[in-house]
Amino acid sequence: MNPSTSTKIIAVLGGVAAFLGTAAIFLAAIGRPPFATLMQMALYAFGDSYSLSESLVKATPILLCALSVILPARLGLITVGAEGQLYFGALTGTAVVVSYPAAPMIVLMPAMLVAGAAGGAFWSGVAGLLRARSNVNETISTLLMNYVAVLLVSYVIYGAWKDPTSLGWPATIPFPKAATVPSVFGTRAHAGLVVGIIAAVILHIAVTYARWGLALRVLAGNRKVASMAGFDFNRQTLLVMAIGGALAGFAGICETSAIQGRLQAGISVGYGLTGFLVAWLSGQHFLRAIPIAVLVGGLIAAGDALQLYAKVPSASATIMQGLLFAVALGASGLAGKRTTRHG
Amino acid sequence: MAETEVLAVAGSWVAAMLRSSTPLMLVTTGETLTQRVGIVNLGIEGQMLCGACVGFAVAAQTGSPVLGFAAGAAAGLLLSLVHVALCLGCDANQIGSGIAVFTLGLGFSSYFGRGVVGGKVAGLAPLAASDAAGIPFAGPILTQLTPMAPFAIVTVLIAGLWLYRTRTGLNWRIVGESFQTARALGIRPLVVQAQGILVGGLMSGFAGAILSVDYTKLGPMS
Repeated sequence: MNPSTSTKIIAVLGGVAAFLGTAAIFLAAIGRPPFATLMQMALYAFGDSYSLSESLVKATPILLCALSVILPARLGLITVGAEGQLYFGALTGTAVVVSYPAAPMIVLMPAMLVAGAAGGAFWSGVAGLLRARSNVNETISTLLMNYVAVLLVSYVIYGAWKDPTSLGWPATIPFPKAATVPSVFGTRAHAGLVVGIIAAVILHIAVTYARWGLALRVLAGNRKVASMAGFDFNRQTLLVMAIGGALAGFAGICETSAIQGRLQAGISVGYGLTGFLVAWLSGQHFLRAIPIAVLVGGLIAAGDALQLYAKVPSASATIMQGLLFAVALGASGLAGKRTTRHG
Repeated sequence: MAETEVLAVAGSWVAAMLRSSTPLMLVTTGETLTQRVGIVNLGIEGQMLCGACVGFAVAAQTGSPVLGFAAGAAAGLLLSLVHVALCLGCDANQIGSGIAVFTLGLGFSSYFGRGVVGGKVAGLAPLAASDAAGIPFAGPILTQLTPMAPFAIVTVLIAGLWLYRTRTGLNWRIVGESFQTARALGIRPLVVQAQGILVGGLMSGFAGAILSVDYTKLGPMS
């Protein structure tokens, strides 16, 4: 075993141990028995078919958002805009449903999904265009556009699209049956999960074995060499941002249609941010993002269940996500330090 | 419109502008200092949330807005220690670490903020008592602004002077421009970077506390 592999294994094991340790300290600090609660959370996440289905429901948008971060990262771009793209995709997809609520399923469903993905692609593409044309930092532009998209959704659900029969509750009309993304495996998990997994596999193959992946790798490594080899950074920037945004927008419209059933505030409980965490935890690797998204989805579902049954606020799951991400970053950073020293 | 009315509207507008920009001035100055030593901290949103939450809780508990500000600043400082540990201690990516700090701050403030929702704080007294309201233009500014607004403006000026007119300010800028050069000059760049992050944390927590204690006078959820 070469030193870098053993360092990696030590980093992963150390990270897991450090996460369990810090989570236990946190639980003890809020007056919960740490080990019993951690066991309980594992059961709430994956203990039975209902818990598993809830975890998969949470994992679906997280996985799609993670993919939307990983693809630009392969070009060396850091985007934190999945949340905004998710909201904007939900907005554009809902526009179709609100405009033609009586259309037959065979027309409405594809139109809604395509509009959602296109909305996300547009929102992300704006940041991509700014980066390609004017060298605007994509991390900052995507971060700021998140707020705009969330507020745009608030604007329409309090205004033009508000359902007059909803007794003042700010939400659109309920989606008709023809615009409800079907669930799969007889659970609440919906077809978006399948799309997410297929997208992860396709993207993995495309960037690992196809010429496209080579273009991204060379461009990320050395812009000058890449341009001499005929690779166009601006074009690839637009492309990866648009594809990533389409995935996040698709997550948004699926979430709106299958889980909420209508467009309303809070369609996402930080899925974009969580997707970013998952992307980094996976080391910007499409396939590794799948199990990690399911695990983090389980963590969030367990947080909800704890709130319901044990009266622990679900914000505890957010804190644990932060702890998980912090120790994972620390562990991988330390491992990188060690490898450089040895190599 | 009569001239006095124009002056009154202009005065109220300036007052509202300064009131809402006070926390922003402080947090921007803090993050600018952090970035000047070559560190990006995306976690300031989380640090502000924590500062707002802790500051409000302490101010509501003790009845003293000043203690609230101090506690909020301490909370921001404490959370920025995570960024110091991850970025400087573990060589972790700055953007990733910032998002981790943000997530932690979001989680902590929404977890512990539940306990103080509905509390009441007094806030600071305005610069002038309400009988000064009749003074043209300056009236609304003096009666609506608390001492925090001039404090923030002075802080920005001091930070600028300090960065460009003092020896330590120069050292900070050297560290931000070139880590290696700083080391060669005998500056300890890691120490300076840690100070930069901590100052940013202190000021973002303080700004958060101003937001909740002095500006909205409402709980952290609002």
